[in-house]
Amino acid sequence: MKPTIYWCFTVCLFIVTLSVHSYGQSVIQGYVLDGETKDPLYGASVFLKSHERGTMTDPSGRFILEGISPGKCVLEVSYLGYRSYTHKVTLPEGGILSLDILLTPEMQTLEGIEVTGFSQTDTSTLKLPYLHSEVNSIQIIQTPVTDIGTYIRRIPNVSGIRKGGSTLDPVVRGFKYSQLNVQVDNGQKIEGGCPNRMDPAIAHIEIEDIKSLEILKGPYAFRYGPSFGGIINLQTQKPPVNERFTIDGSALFGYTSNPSGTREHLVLNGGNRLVYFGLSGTNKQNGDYQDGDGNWFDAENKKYNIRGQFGIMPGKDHNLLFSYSYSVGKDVDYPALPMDMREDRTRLMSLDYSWNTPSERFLPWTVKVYRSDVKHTMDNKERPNSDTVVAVTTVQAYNTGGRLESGFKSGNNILAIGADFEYITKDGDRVKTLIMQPTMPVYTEQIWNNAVISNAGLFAEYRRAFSRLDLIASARIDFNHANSDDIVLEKMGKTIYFSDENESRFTNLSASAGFVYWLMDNLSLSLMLGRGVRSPDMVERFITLLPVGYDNYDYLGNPSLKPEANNQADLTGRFQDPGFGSLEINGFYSIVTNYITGEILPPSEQKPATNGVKGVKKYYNADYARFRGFELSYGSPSQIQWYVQFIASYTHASINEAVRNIINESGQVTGTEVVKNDPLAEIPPFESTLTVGYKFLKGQLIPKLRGRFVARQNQVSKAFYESASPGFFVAGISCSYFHNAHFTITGGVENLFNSTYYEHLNRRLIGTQKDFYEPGRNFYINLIFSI
Amino acid sequence: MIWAMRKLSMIFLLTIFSLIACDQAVEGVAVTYVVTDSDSGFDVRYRNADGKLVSETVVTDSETDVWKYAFETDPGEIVFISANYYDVNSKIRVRILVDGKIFREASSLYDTANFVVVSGTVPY
Repeated sequence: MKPTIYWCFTVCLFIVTLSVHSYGQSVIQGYVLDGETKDPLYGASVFLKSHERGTMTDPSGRFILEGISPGKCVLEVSYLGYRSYTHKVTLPEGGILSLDILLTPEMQTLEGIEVTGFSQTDTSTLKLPYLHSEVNSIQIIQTPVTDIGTYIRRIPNVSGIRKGGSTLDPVVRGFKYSQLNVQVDNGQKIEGGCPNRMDPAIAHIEIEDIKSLEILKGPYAFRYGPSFGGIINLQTQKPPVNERFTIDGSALFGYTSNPSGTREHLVLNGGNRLVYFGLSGTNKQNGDYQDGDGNWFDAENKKYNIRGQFGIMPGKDHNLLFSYSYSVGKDVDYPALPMDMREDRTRLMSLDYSWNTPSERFLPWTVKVYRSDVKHTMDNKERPNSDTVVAVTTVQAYNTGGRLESGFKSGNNILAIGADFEYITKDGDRVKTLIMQPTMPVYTEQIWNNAVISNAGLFAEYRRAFSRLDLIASARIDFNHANSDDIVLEKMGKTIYFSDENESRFTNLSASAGFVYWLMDNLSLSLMLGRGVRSPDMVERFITLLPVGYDNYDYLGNPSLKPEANNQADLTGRFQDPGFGSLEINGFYSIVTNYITGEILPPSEQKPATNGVKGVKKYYNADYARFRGFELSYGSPSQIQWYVQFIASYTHASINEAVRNIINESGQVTGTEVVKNDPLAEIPPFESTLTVGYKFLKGQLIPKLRGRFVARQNQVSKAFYESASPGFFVAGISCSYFHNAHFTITGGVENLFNSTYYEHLNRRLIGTQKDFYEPGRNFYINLIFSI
Repeated sequence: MIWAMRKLSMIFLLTIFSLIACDQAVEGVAVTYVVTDSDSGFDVRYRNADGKLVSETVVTDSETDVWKYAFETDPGEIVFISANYYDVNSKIRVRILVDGKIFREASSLYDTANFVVVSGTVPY
């Protein structure tokens, strides 16, 4: 689609948006927003006392009450944790009254770090003793970022492994891959297709569809599946439930200069209290980008997505919602991997049912079933070696599952119980065509061979609030089973690996407990202890001689691996004061037993299948690894015009013993050596970010300046031949203008000083010693319309 | 009523543009294999429009005879042709054209021992 058409459409939309603002009849409408951050408040109660009419706000904070008789009335707006708003209004005869209502928080909380859980069982008095970061759609949409993996690097102690221009793989406090439980809408899992994780779970969700992004750090929250290093929960937008039939829509148009990219996101919602629906579509494309020195990096990607939701509320306590989304990614460059993604087709389906039982003793019943289908195709057709061998890999990955939860409450006691289940299957081949041979021979190699992992779990979580003490305890038991058809790897018609013992079963027990103790009304101390156990994933169990690790080795899966366990403690202090702001300090310490990593196999035992690798590593359970670090956050009080936020974080991780090859100057392996207390690879260095802003026009216009300092990373893994990375400083400016509830414009400059830098977790460009630099200066603008 | 009409027109526009945004059709390209300069004949193997490898024996009367095979395919598809001859005094020239322009080519002179192989993937 030509960009000019989009811009014509944008102008039309803008004109219609402004004009609809002036017409209509017998309607009171508007938005309920956080008075400090201008974030929408989803689920706020809006009630017209004199008319006995009420409604709830949708995810964008919007409400509408139609068919109201004109005259004076009293509007009451309330939301948990905020001061209620009551105001006398006069509704004009035959007209629309538009209001943007700003609610003031009852207690100041740190922007972007809310201390609440993501379930219906939370109470306003109970705070969690572990770190929970949350950012909402308004914060996300104001940035130029077009994928979730890139965005979450803005959250304290969250990083991303860059292998291409987009879809970074998240790292939380040094935990990564299957050590993180990534899910959508409280339970839906997605299994990526690529063995090299070019499509991690977060790559299959569009950032424009996100309502909020939550990260629960540590092995503590067991209600949403096994938790090892943390949970990343992507809450997607849901259509609002309106009192009377209503249709509304919104549109986002974004542009970035480096990489040159555009994005368009359109949303249409409608329905009433009985039946409601939502439709949305996203289209975006980005080109290559230049670093600060003007060097070009392959980062091209194209993606489009459509999404539909249909809900029924047969009674006020019953809600059934069916969701379907279909995403297509095409021609995505991954210069740090041996292949590029040619096409990825992802279908996500889910059915959610909730029943708010009439009894106050029972928690709501929630039931979820889902299916995630990924068909992933990658090839080397744009790489130099495709002149001799064209390799095309196609993988189908399916994840089917569900969860059921309910519970009991009595006074200050809450007990949530439930069960969850997931069934993952994966199959795929790599077809190699030798196009410089006269007979063009074609060889097919197995990547996955009907590999299956199933996991069924039972969980319980207990909470109790005392006057100065909040307790929480959680536990789960998992029954894990994995199998695969015989694993056979043939190279040029010759069998080089075979395994027919691929089955394993585990029963894992995880538990956590902790408390928040209120030393004063605004000062608390929290301690959380937990042990999270996870079974090995598909790659660790079944991968067959592919270079999927950080180092240049072919990796071999190990079906006999044992689960690894994270034994962690978090100590957190929080101070919240209306005059001072919010300060949060956290320290954590973790010992991971049966740590899963790779050990070198001698060539006599297994030769590699990939040209140019150093050898073969097989996954095994090392003795233990240790993670420790801290996080510090400060947010200024909401009453002042200045906006200040400071965050800092650091993680150090090491393994007690690792073995590496000794390689001489000519590249020959001459032996092996043991490295004691070797730092783990791909651990982010110390970093801190300071954001300063000022609220003009009563908060409608907010310019911000953001500076990020990242230290040099010297703690590098010898066993993985990891290189140190230099420190850097980058700055950016942004400005948001909230014209009204219908129009917002955001723009800015990222990497203001055009610095040339790369993150420690960026992989090197494959086949070279060249680092994968981040983009240089980038101008961006986002236009957001709502009707 | 005006409000409702404007909203409906807005929704109509949103729907149309959402549908258009998803239209990501890829245009095909014209591929032609061309073998020339052979004055007696040759054996040729090529990847056809269905992706299958086809073998043919071609007899030519003079080196001005031209053998061609043309088809439509998509960017990224493999194109492949190999040829050899048995007359030690002969020669051959093999080309792959993409949209009428030479994409790859190779030739041989008085060489019956080796195949002339021309191949690649159609550029995106």
